[in-house]
Amino acid sequence: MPFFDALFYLLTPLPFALVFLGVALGIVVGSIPGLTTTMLITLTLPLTFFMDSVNAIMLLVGMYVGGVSGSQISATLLRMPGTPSSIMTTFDGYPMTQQGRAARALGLGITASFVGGMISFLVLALLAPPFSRLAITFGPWEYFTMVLMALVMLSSLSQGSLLKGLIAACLGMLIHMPGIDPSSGTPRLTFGIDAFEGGLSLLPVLIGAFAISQIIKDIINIDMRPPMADLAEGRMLLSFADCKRHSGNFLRSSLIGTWIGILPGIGSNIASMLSYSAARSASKEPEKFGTGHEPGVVSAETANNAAVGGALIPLITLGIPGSVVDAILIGALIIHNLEPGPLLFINAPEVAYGVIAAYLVGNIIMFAIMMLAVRHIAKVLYVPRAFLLTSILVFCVIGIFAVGNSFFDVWVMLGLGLLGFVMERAKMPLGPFVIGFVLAPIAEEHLRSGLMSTGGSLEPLFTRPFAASFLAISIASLCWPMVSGWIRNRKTVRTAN
Amino acid sequence: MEKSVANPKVELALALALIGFSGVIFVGASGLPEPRFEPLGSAAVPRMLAGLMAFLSAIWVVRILSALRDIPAVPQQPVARDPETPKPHPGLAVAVLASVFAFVAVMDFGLASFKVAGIGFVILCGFLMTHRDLRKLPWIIGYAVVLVLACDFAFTRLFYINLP
Repeated sequence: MPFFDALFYLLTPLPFALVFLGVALGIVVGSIPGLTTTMLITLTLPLTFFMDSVNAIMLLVGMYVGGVSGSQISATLLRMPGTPSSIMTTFDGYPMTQQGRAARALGLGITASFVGGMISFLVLALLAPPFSRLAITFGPWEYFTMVLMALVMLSSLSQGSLLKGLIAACLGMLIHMPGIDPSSGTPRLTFGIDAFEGGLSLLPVLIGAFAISQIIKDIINIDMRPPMADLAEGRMLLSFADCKRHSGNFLRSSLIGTWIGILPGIGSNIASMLSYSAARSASKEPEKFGTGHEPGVVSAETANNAAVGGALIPLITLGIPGSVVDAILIGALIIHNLEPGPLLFINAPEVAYGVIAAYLVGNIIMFAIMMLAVRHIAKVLYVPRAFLLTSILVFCVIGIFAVGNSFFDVWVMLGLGLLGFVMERAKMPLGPFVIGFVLAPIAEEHLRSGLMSTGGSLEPLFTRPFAASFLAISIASLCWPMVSGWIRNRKTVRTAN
Repeated sequence: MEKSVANPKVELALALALIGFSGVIFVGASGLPEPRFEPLGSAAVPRMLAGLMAFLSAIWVVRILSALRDIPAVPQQPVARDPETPKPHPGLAVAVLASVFAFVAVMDFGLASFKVAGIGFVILCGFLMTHRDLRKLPWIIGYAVVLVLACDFAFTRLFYINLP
């Protein structure tokens, strides 16, 4: 079985050490508000050039698992979620800290993350191989409509404003256009500048949009100092009775999280919100949610970790990212000369199954590290920002320079950093921008080859079942925010009358 | 439709800049050769995307302008600041960004090596970010030397990359 081959390989010293390192770094970085998992993974990408592709992907998956779990530390202790996926954890985790139950809140969150991860792993391991076999039958029209669906869903659901999300996606796709045209081989939109002929590389765009723009925000708020929380009191490991009491919540939240993760572009923050709402609706004491109620922490943390496993399914089977971090992982596969998509299971099974194995082992390592060392990790929250941010700036500059030995990439990174900062000031989401950049070549290539095969006819969009379904979902996702807004307005008018 | 909470002036500037950018793409795409071997050609996708972005940005501009018109002309009272909330430092961010640009430019134009420029950059940024506290300067200098030399060692000796 290729999965067990990948698992046994992962248990050898070097891959295991890399996953361990990835999870540990992910937890530490995820726990620091202002530093994100996305930033950590993008900054690590240049260093993975010098690594074997399987080891590199395993390291990055470890960071992903660690980052999502680590963000609960600051969410619980400071009411400052390390990443948006832990926003819902603050609702009950922080009140528990104020009530002197910080250790209990973290224990619940860590166990919930572990259970969510394990259930999601089972779904990933069972669904990914058959999904990839199905995806092999897909042609250019299916791929084109799938990319369209991912972009529309991400734009409409990521941060509220459909209009801004769509503009961001268009901008991301346009930024990818300069360079040599893949079909005709002629320079396109280079405006006579030689450096543009190679196009804009993925890494400067990613690091600029996420790391540099985040650093600018952090410098503006450099005086934010978190208050100290007491973690000395209380037991973190849950008893069997605790696990039994929360078992229904664990299962429900895991399934919600995994399902939401599979859908392109929605992400673990929406998963934790939906799961939290479901837990409150199912509870006999819904009024206690938001006051330090244990099921609130359990539902939020189970779902956000389960969403990671769910999001890995479209990533390794279709090459379609479920979230921004997944888009970066796709970038990592491309950088390592691997083709993301269904052929990954045939051409590089060690990588495809390596992702699944790394997710399993990463979750186990995450549980061990968090249970044993969270009291020490929490001290990282108080590292002086001046030293941290300056170091990250230096790493960004030399990391990007090192990739192509070119200052052009460094200038692109700085320019994209400014653009990312302005976009965030205008409340324009960065997710559709980056995913648009990553998916633009896939969409263009499949659209052009599809049109070539039909002599310019768009008919297969409506006659091929999967393509038509993806197109229908895209149109529904596009229309739903407008329809729901119209219904809301009508209700408001009716109530006012 | 949702009400935006972003600064409308920033939104307006960005929307207009995006319309301008779409225009630049149109101009660039107009010089591309016509399709010969396939129905679409290399100019079609950039044109479609630029057209769509310009159209969506125009809707955004209209929305921002109508929102700006709805804002009452009466000068608003300054909002009282929460004394516990730290003061934001936009000027500091501008200064640090300027030093990053200077750091890259100095190396790009061959005026200084990574070791020299890097140590200078870390000292300057650290000093600015600690609000020019002279008591912290010796720590920052020590940190700058260790960080830059460690990076130089790792990149040149372990990854075999020539830094500037």
